[in-house]
Amino acid sequence: MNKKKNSLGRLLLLLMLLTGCAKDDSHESSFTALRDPPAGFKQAAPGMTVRLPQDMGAHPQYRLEWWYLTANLHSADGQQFGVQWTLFRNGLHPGPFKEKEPGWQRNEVWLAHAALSRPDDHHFAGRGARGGTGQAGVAAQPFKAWIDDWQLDGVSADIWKLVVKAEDFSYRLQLRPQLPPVMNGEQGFSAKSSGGGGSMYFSYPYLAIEGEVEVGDEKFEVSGQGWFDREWSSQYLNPDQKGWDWMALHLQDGRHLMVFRVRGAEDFYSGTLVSADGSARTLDAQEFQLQPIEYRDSRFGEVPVVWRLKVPSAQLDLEVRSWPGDYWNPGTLRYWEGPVSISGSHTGEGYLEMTGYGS
Amino acid sequence: MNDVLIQARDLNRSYHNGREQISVLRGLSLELRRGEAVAVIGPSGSGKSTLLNLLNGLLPPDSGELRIFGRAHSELTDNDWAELRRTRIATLFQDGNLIPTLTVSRNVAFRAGLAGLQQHNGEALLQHLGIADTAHRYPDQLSGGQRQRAALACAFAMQPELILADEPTGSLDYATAQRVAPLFFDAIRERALGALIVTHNPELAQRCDRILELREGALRPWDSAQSS
Amino acid sequence: MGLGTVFLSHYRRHPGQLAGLLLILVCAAMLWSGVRSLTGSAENAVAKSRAALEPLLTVERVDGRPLTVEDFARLRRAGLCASPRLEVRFATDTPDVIGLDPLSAACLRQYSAQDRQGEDSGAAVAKKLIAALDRPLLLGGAADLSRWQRLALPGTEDFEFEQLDGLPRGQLFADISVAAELASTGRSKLAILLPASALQKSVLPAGYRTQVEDYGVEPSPLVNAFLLSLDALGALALLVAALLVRSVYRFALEQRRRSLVILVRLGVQPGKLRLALIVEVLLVALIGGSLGLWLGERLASAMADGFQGTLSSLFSVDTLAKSSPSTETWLGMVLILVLIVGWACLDLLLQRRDQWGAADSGVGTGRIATRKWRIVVALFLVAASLLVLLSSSTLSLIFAATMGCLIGVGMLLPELLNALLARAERHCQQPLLEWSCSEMRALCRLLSLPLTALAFAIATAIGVQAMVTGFESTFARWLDQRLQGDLYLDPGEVVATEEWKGRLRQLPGVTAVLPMLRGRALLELSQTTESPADELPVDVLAVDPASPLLQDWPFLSAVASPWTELPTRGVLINEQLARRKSLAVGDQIRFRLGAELQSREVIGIYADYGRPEGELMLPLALVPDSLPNRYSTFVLGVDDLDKIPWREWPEQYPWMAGSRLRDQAGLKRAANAAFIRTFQMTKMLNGLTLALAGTALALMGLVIFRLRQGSYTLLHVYGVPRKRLRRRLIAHSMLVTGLLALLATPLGVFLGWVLVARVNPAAFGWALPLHLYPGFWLQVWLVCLLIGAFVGLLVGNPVRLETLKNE
Repeated sequence: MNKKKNSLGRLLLLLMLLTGCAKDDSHESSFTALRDPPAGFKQAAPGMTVRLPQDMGAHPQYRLEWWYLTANLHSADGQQFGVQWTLFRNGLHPGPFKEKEPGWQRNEVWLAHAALSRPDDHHFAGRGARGGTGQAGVAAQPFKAWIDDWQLDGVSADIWKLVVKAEDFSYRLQLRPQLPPVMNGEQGFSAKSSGGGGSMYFSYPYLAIEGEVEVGDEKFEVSGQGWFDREWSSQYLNPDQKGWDWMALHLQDGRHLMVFRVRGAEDFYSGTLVSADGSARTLDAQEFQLQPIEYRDSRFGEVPVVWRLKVPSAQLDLEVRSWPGDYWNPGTLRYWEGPVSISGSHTGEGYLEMTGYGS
Repeated sequence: MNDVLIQARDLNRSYHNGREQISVLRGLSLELRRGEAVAVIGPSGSGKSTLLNLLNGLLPPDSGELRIFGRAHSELTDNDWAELRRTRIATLFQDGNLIPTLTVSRNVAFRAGLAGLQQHNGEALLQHLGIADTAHRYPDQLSGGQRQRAALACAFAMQPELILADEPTGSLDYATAQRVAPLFFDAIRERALGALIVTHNPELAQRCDRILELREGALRPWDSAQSS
Repeated sequence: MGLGTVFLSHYRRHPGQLAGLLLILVCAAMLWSGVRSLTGSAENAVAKSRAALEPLLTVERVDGRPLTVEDFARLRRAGLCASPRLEVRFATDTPDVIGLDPLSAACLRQYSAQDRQGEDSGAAVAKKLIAALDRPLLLGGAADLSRWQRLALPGTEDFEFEQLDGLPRGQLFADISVAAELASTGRSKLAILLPASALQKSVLPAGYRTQVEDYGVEPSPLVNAFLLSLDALGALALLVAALLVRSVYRFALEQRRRSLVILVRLGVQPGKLRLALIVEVLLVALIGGSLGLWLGERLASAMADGFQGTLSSLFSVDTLAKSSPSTETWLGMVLILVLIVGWACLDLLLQRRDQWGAADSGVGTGRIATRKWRIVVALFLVAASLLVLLSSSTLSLIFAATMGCLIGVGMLLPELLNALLARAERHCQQPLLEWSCSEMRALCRLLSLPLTALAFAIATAIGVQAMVTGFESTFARWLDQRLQGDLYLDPGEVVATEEWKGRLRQLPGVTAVLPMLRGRALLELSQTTESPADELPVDVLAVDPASPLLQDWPFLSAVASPWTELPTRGVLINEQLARRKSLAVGDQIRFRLGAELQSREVIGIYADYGRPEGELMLPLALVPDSLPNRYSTFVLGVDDLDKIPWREWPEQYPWMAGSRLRDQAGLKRAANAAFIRTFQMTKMLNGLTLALAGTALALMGLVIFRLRQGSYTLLHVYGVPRKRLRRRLIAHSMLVTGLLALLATPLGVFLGWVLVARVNPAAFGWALPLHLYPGFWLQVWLVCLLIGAFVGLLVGNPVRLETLKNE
């Protein structure tokens, strides 16, 4: 496990050194990747749209993008599991790249995080690879994302297979998108502040999942639901923005909801509400209220783990509560990614991600 | 001059018990001559043990004058007192304190040895006191009376000039006490020792030359008529 | 006002007793958890050092084609932790550029096989490269950098250079993409490396095979032996801890005897009393035990941390066991508690009604009878255990017998002390001396359990010190034996030994060449043999007996000059073979080398740590070319390793193409560094055991001396001055602990002997040397005297007039 942490740490060290300046380690500068001006990379802007299935693939003209799965699963006897799998692509130089054959390049770096969570138990593994060797990559058609022996494979149009093996856990899951992908923000351009800047962002809000999870010596047959994000940009945050809080929620009545808050000089809110039939609506700041109501003293400081989410127009008054325990994913760019349970006007489950906290 | 073994004038001694200062002896005076046996009686808690501890140098008086064998207590150092206790003053206790890890005969030999006496008539002493058969037993294997007699043997083995006794028959039954007492006094008379005996036992007190009462911190001659 | 209040009232009146009780429990628990934690750390350190020494493999294609990027990707996608290395060579006298992929370099724990300085320069390289991933950076020594810059290759104008010390000469490191760019201007070769352990987790895909790139050093058997002994030490510590706790409880009960007796007289049922006592025991044990457990872990990690700064370690900070007590430690603690409660309860349960009132008789007749019986039992136990120990080779029996010996000796020690003091007492002329002896006897009797615990701690300290030092020197010698000379050369194929020897000797800078020819032979076991069952396959090692590189060969027994006898008449065998076939120097053995049958006399037996196989050592001349599995390697002595371009030899000399060379000294250094930490930790264990046993003894001693004040006061009344009594008390205390240390030393030597000469051979087939270290004993004795003096000083004034009032 240690070697993986080391390689991950080193890669994240890299994330903060894109412009090749100062070699310092501070948490502050670890966000330069997200905040620096594009410098040769293409930037997401209002008016851009998402085209599928091409945009499931990689975007070498952009600096940073990810393929992000979060899932809430249950075993037959009611045990709960949270699964996260993310593949990041980090461009060092803007593409497209002239070298078509595999070779030793330093154009981009791939990074993957895999996590398996249970109440009060969090397992994490990471992988890192340079681009251009074939060790990691994404193909749009048929959809395939891989790094080393981790693989998210679009076996057919509506079945994806995810295989992940780590030192102390592994999973093999079958994911079936039940609803068509939704565009977040304005037709896929998701602003992250009122002053411009943002990303192209679309999601598969509801994947029906089935498969096997192995943790320690135990094997479980599991099933549940998941949310898949696809996002790319070259500058996510403005210099004054510290981080964000994001959640993807699946409600009992068949609706799905994604909301986030970017914390900065002025907080920025946005969200997407997906109804049971798959139609989606963007929520702007006036349409919902998101507030942290309880903090937890975690290993890296106090974090808001219980939230109040009110969407009056949708008759939603929810309390979103994190599972007990610590769900920090390690690295220089430490972030929280943990499952949540929903109560209040509706019940349900989901995931909470928080970045920019802690010391 | 050598006749006066103890000369005490106006002795005071008090204890601190937490915050209180309890005055035990107040203005106590006493004179004891060689060959004299003096009994001290008094209610319990009146300071009899304290008196004995003052006289053998285990405790210093707060004020007053004390002369032992003609020497003033202020001149005597700890080591001087220790030497006195080793060679000239014998103290007897109620429970006949003997060294529990030595046999009776070794106890006797030990006392004599401490006093620097090369020869000692330990066996004769034990014989005289009627406990010759206990010579190789340990103190906890003896009865109360045997223990007291063994303590006597130890005391006499060091050939003291002064004996201080704290309730020597206190833990003995009547019959045993009757048997031990004469041995005690015979030895005192024989060797012309001075003896100060603290006791409850009126019969024992009667055998002494003088009876003093320790009351309110000082010694007065005991008046049997005033006994209350 | 219930029973509970009465119980508690005792502690209210004597709060010091409760504190003392808890403190001793804390000490015992600290000892146990500290030992467990340190043992765990040592095991971790060993695991890490194993990894540091493990072999490194290169992957090759079955079809022999050179490796490419796709091969790397294929291996990674198969789940193997592989890392590429692209070597680019330029004109001679220009340093090579080694391209690494820092993203996967972490796979190779033993990153740089050329890690000469022992620093983790490998990690530093990877770290710098990843920080500079987007630009071309070359790392290396100053001289190499300037030489390379002089080349001034086209397209390298924007290269950056950084000096990094500790890197091997003649090599510059860069990101693999940078090396790939340079590949066109020089000769390049791609290698893909794997740690050997990776193949245990995943399977190599078809079309590939592996080769050993670096043999590493396989210390497993030695390491396992060491760990086994560590576990034994842990068990001993547990015993010491249990003894301490038991003594405390026995003692505490004695203190309470008076109030308990009164309670019985008042009519409280003894059964209820027992129950209340048991509950009290459990409560105090749980509190003291938990606190001690936590403290022990803190102490152990603090001790382990203290060494981090002084050692240049190969391990990262995270790997040291700083975690909260493991389940096993908790279980162990529970076990102790259960044992203690059971033991204490046994006392209580066995106490009959009439005994509740009995005063504690010091030296009664009844006790004498019990004592005699105990001595007999103890002697019998020791004798029987010794017998088993000397005759058996089953590991479990050996452990049981050792335990039996310890218990027997533990029972005998207080008696021995008593007997010695009684003897002294009888022969004393001076009365005070006699009294002193009797006092010390009383002391020993009252403190018999904690003294026994201290004795065990002393014995453990001495035994473990002997074992660890034995291991250290053995390990050093084993490394010497395995890593002789300066360079090790593996030709990669079967070669003509003599021819190569001649050629190697002529290489510049080479001062000595020792060929080591290995093969297999068959040892004949009986005179009339035809069937294969009577033959034992053994390894053969053939050397040149005249070589100066054959120093430090550890002989267990040998004739006068074995190396000169070897060419003419004798054969040397290793310890494993000698043990297995009960051979000794002077025996005649017959063996088959290929088709030839030889008969030779055994002229020496050498220690061969860590291998299960039997081995024969023969002179080179004797070995026929047709020896099965014949393979030669060479050990070279050179004059200055730094100045010789030995790395380039396989390229320079065509006859050496395909050979592998290894720097012996550097590997030896790395292996040593890895194990130093392990040994250090074991020594810490020792210190911990001794310190805590001493503390517990001191605590109890304090209380016991309080009890004995009556005795000293009596003597004061008899006329011994206070100061003299004080000095005597200190002397008593020092004498008792000092005497104990002296008596416990042979026990320690015995333990050490058991560990190296019985446990090891039973478990692994080879014995370690037993060395005596009187210097260490002196230290231990001194410590014991100091403990005694400390306790004596702490007691202060031994005279208390109040003790005269009651007997």
